[in-house]
Amino acid sequence: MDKTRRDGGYVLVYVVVVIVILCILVPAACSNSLQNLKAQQASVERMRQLYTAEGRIERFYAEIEAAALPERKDYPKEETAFNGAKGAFQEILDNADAGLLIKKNETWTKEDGKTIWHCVISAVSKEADVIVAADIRTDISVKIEPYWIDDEPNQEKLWSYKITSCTITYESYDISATAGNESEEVTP
Amino acid sequence: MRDAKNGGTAGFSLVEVLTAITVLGLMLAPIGASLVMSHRLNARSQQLMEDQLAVSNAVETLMAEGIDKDDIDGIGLYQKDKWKPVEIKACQESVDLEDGSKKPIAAYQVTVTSGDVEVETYIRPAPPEASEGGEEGGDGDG
Repeated sequence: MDKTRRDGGYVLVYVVVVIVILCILVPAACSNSLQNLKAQQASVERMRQLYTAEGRIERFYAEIEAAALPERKDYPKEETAFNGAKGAFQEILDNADAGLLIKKNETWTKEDGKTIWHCVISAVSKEADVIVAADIRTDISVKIEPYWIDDEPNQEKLWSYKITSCTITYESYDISATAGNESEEVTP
Repeated sequence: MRDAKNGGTAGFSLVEVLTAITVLGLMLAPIGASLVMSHRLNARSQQLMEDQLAVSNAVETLMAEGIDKDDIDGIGLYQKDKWKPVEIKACQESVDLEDGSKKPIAAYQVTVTSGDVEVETYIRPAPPEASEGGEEGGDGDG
């Protein structure tokens, strides 16, 4: 007698079950890997934005340091020498990188024959979602004095300014990030 | 007639087995390719993370130490042997002044590269080595 197998054909059922399970697990694993890679790429981009923003601040800081190196200027009057000293540093602020927002709070005082410039410059650098805000304190002592051409008192009297000391420090340094869709008005 | 028992001698027919193997083979090929792709994505992500860490470490160190112009070689590479496999290039740009002359920018433009990760930034020059008292950086009377 032929044995009829009423339970035949189950092997295909097993195969289909295994395939279904694999079709669920493998795309999940692929999706997870892809999400990891996207997150890593976003992290790299964020790092690039951060260092671009920080680089602007560093460049600005370096420009202030470089300007602190003295270069003698000759002016006909003491007042114009004083203005020349102020103008030299104002020029740095005016020529700062276009990506920087700058605001300064400065005071000029005269102490013991020297002019002291205290200035806190608030600089904000924004690159995409990253914002770097720094307060740079600059204390510069400027000596303004007269001299005569060829040291001859009968010759023309001129005034020059000379930087005798300079201290530049970061008072604060903040790094923050905005969410991708926010359009934030940033002011120093 | 019914079989009273259909026990341990039951098995799969050859046709069933061949069909099952064929279906499995056809389905496992793309599934296997997906697994290989997943593995490659993980490896790429891992490599990207290592490159990012190397670049970040280099940039942070350079920002703390500053750029020493004596360590820049003829083709612009900075401290080539110290930072391998990270590549650092440093150059000093100039800006055009109104009178037509060029004024060098105080900071160095630095490009740090590791694998596929590249960062461009500005870094200050290294402070001069401690020497006899000068006029900069200290409080002093003129």
